[in-house]
Amino acid sequence: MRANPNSTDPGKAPNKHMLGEEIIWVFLLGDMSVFSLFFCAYLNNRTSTLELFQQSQSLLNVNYGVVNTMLLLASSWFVVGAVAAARRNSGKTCSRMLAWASLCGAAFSVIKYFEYSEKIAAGLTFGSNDFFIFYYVLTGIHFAHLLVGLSLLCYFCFTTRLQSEFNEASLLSISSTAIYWHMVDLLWIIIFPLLYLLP
Amino acid sequence: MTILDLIKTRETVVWLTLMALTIASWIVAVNDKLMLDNADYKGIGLIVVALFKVRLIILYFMEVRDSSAQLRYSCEGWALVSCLLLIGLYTGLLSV
Repeated sequence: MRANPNSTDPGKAPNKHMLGEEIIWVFLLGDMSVFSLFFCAYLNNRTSTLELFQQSQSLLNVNYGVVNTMLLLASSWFVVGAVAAARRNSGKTCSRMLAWASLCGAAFSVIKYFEYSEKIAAGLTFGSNDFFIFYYVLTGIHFAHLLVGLSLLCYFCFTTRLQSEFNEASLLSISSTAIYWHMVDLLWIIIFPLLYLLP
Repeated sequence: MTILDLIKTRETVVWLTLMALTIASWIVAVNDKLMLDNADYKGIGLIVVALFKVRLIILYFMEVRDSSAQLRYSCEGWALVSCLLLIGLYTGLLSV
């Protein structure tokens, strides 16, 4: 059973429901499993060449990582608010929440741009060593996911602005975007300690 | 639904918990004297906290908590298997 816009309390989801479309969940679980394989490959290499990975990791700026984590968590929180607003048929609020979420996502992108620029200026590129191959692959693929999510958030931010009623199809589209964005967030939550924090 | 309404929800408590755990992980990781001297235990702690945060997002933000058992078991299974694999590879108990 899916979210019903005509439920007695439209701000709350009905019991036993699925946020978003089934096919999106299949895609997300597949994507998350592929990322898990990347994480495993990273840790396998890290364990076998620990000193190199630790030295390279010390060249990363942890502050960028922690600020980006908080930005994504904040954006996810706003997306939760956007879905609740859509259930209550409040297009204006939904749009405003999505605007805040997009702003957090955009701030993440700006920080990532500065981080990459600093690394490249310091000569730490994709081919520098195994650690930086993983660093650019993991953060790069994640960043590509983020840009897709950000585009969707911006799209719905504009389209929901004047919407006074959300039918089942538009609720499904917004909630599918929401779960995709939460996946982008949760993948970063694993990438952050693996690349920046592990001793 | 305003920001104030959103603040009063259960998801806000979850969000604040996620923020607090992020800051705690950061402090523990950058401060060598904090927590455990053993790097393995510290690393395992960071991985477990990260996967716990992931679980909170799945259950509350993605609303899997109120979803079908099939979806919940798939998501929780993914988180648990990922956590065990990461710990095994980090500690060297597993290697490919």
